[in-house]
Amino acid sequence: MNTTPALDNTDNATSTECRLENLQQFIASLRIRSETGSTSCRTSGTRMVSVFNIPKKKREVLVSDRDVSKRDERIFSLIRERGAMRLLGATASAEMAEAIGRLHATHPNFSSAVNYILGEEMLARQKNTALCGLRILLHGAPGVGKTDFALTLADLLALPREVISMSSSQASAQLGGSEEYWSNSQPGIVWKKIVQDTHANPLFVLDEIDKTPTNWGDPLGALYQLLEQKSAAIFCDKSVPWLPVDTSMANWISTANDVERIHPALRSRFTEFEVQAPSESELINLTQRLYSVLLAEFSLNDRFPAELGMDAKAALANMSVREAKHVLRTALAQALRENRDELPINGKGHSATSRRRIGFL
Amino acid sequence: MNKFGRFKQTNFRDWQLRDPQLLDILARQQQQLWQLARVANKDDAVVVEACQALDAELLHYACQRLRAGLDVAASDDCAQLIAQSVLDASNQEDAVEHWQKWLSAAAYWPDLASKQWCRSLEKSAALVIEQLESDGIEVNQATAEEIEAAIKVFELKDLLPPDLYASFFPMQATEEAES
Repeated sequence: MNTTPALDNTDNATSTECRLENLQQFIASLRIRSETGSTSCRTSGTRMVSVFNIPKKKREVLVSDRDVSKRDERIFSLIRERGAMRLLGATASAEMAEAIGRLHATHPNFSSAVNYILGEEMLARQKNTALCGLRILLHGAPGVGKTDFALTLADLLALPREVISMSSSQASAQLGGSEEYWSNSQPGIVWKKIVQDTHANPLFVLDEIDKTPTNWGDPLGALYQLLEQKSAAIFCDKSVPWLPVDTSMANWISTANDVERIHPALRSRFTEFEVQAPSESELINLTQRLYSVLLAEFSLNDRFPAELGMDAKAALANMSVREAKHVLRTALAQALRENRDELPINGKGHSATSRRRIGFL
Repeated sequence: MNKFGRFKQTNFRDWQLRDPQLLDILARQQQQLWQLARVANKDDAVVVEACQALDAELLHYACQRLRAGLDVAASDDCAQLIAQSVLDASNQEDAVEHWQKWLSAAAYWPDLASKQWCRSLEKSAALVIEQLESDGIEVNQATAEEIEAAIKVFELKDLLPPDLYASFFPMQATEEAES
């Protein structure tokens, strides 16, 4: 077999029992591959790794714990059906490095973070493995493109991603699951993403981690374990405490405006990068790229000039990336509605369409 | 009914076939038929008359067809049961229950399962691959060969819990325990 399924190491496992389990694991990994569209496991080159050991038997629970027992049964069926093998995406390679390197052009103000990721890619290439276990904290003023960078990176790496808005997170259950004694207990996002999905190294984006509310418990509590290599390798979701899952390969990117509001113990688990707003010349290049992307997205390359006008460039160069994106989109919509040949962005700070004010005047 | 269809074993549920020694009986009956045919050449007029009325060849053929039918039913059903054990990883209890029901339908079925095991394995590999393809999984030649090779080495004890195996195959279980 091209993958080695996880075998049970308990004393009562015999080699003959493993024959059936091995084949079941192999078939489960075929199913996982087929879900991602890379069914030809010989040629895809994507490795698979084991993220948990399938328990031999369902654990015994007290007779009165019917809810727990039923939930255990469902989870036990799920893990047997899907098996323990998950894909290891973002295989390190020269092509991968080239793709990451393109971030220098598209996100010029993230060059130190890009260099760091390129370094990690090189280390992964040395070990003939994939980009795993990135723990990056991007902090800087609002609107400099932190979330966009994280999402663009996820797309480049072709990894499944999960964006978690920490500012609206209310409890630790979101990441680490809820305690199993609750009748409606369920696993957290990390467990679901790895066990129920296809990859061992998905990308989690923790957006605005510094704005995590703490009045309903600690939504970040599980991160102390998830971001530590050794403890992440045996992460137990509170809802499924009997199944340690290897979450150490997951990639994490957090964004924050004010890094001082993050607990030092948590900060120390990340590699931090302060992101400055792009310089004027960087922003001019960036807005031109954003404009090209917009034209391509709406198939308008033949309708509008490929280059932004000087006035528009000058106006956009005074904005944040987020503002510039917003103004470009609004101006494009307006140009289409008014049948103009150019985007109505003038030198007065933003689109010729004045920003609508909402509320009492 | 299992996920692949009806077990062929159900075609052999008539009371005449419930004797636990059916396979031995069939073999003995065939021998008897040949002996009777030989007796028909002797001098006893009554015996000669009775035996001449007996179409030994036809009866022999009927016994043979019955035995062949049992063999095919055993190999087809076991192939389905093996495929279920392999494919339905999330519900091994059901697979074991099906095995238990099938093996306990009459005392000679475990014996037939053992005798038809190799043929069952071949058929089950084809069933597994067919099922995977119908689930939308691309099974290329290399993968198919791996599945076939993995199934080819299965033994009955790989698919049954030890106590169940020992209850249906006590001789083999004892021999394996001793070795």
